[in-house]
Amino acid sequence: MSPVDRHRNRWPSVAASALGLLAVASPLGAQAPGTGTLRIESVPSAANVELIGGPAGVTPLTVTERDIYPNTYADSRADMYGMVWVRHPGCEPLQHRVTADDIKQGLRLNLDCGVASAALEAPPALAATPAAIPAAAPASANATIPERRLRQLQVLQELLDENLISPAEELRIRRRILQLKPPGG
Amino acid sequence: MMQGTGSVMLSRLARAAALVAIGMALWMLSMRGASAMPEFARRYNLSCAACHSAFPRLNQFGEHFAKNNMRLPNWMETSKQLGDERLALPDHVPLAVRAQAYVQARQGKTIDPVTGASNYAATDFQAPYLVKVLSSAPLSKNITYYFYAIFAEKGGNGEVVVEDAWFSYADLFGSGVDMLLGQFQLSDSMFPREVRLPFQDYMVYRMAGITYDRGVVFSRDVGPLAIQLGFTNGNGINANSSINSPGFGRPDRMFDNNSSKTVFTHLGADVGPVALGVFAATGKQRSATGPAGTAMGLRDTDKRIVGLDASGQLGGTVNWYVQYLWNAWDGFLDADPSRNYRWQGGFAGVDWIPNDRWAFSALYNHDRAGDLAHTHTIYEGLAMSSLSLTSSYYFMRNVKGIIEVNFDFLNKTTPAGRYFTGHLSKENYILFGFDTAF
Repeated sequence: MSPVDRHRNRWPSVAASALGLLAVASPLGAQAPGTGTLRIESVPSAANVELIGGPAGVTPLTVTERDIYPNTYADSRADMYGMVWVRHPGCEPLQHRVTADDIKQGLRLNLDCGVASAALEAPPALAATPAAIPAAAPASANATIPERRLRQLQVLQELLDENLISPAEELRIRRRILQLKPPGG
Repeated sequence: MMQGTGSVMLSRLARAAALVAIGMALWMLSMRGASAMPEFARRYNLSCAACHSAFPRLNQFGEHFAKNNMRLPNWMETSKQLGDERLALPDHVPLAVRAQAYVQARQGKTIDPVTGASNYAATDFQAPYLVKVLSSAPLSKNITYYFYAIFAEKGGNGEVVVEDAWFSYADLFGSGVDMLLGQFQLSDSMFPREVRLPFQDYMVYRMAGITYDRGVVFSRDVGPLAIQLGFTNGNGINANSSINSPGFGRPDRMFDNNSSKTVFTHLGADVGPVALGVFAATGKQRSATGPAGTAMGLRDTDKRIVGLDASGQLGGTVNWYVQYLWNAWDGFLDADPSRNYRWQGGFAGVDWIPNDRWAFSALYNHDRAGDLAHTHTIYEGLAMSSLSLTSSYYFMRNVKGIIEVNFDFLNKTTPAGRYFTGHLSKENYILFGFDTAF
């Protein structure tokens, strides 16, 4: 057997060894540093973040691209693919489609925490826990107390007019709003 | 002796040069920025990860995207806003590039089946292996186009080959039927070769002649069934001839070489966690004639193909797939036109993608020449039994380096007849290289 033939016969085992070494050397299972993460922040913070795979945590948090774009998902969750849902008590839920720019720059979501959204979300919970009403309905930080109460009462009336809450619930919430004391008062 | 020592030296030098080249290229690639983005990612401002589990392999959403006429619902917003609702011009020229370059060490040879003259290159710089320019865009609510052209594929410098090139029309006349017209692969209805992770091919598709052809394919989902029905010329994508009157050329050209068409269908359905499919095709092919069957004959012969495919996932990181094809080539060889030839083959593979940096693949091709064995023709070469193991490392989402080792399990044979046919050289190889799209 010539040296060339010996080399020819040996190289498949050398090749297999090289492949094996490569596999062993790879950081399997580890998220590669610096690849594909998304920082999610919200105003206000401590909002619940939901992705296609389910609840992801509370802002601020960092998720991976694969959390947003999983390779497989249930068909029933297809609408959530590439989306971030953010929920905070008293704020309107916010959904956002993640772009490549978001992944590069991070995501900072400003939630709408006007009373309307709070009231829309609140009725069933309010009926059960009336004490939660004031905390669940923070108005704009710049609004005065009378302005906030007026807006809250207007929204409450709209909810009653549209039969989204019962007259008894409306009465109970109205009393709560009118009994509110200004901060520090 | 001197010659042997010289060859070993040459081999060492080539290996050293390859290592230096790989090192240089690795370093240069690691210096590149993240600005490289393939066309769909650019258009929709999405990460490649949205559609690929590991480039070029599609994930579930990527397959949905491809099936959905290659667009997202907001495609119109990505068009140039010209104030004309009947004009959806892409706001940039929708081009992307894919390029591959490899260094290979192998045992395979090129052997002339008539004379037995052979060429052998233990190491081989296959760089560039190909440079491919791709383009696709939605043009209207229903119509999308897609094509790619390959420059200098596999060393064919001076050549440009257009492979996939088609228009698709979604929801034809509101029927729910999608139509695709152009050049495509019949085998795409099973496992698209272009999105496989290994360098090694799905060989049975090439052997059965169900890769590129010109035609039309209709698709529709009926309940749990995904149905495809297609018609093609059946003579590939290279042939054409001038129409003349007679001998005096007319401007038009004839792409087909006979009136018959290849008809194919694929039925697919999910059965639990497994995607199952049945493929069938029937058509004509030109007979094989001449020394060792190397020339195309004048007779149109019947060919039929039946296939079964299955695929699934394990644990979210492992994808497996299996393909079987049965082939009937009636009267194929001019040497014995009364004889019908049956042969079969297939492949099975696993892709394991543990994270965003690594992908590992195993692909086993197994084909038997069947009735074409011992015919002293090149079709004895249908026989194959090889395992390819591939490691892919992703420098970026769209830039990967690969190492692949191929183990050939077939025993070498010696020529038994007048011609140099059969498995005359082992086909082990090891390959290093790069594959990128931007």
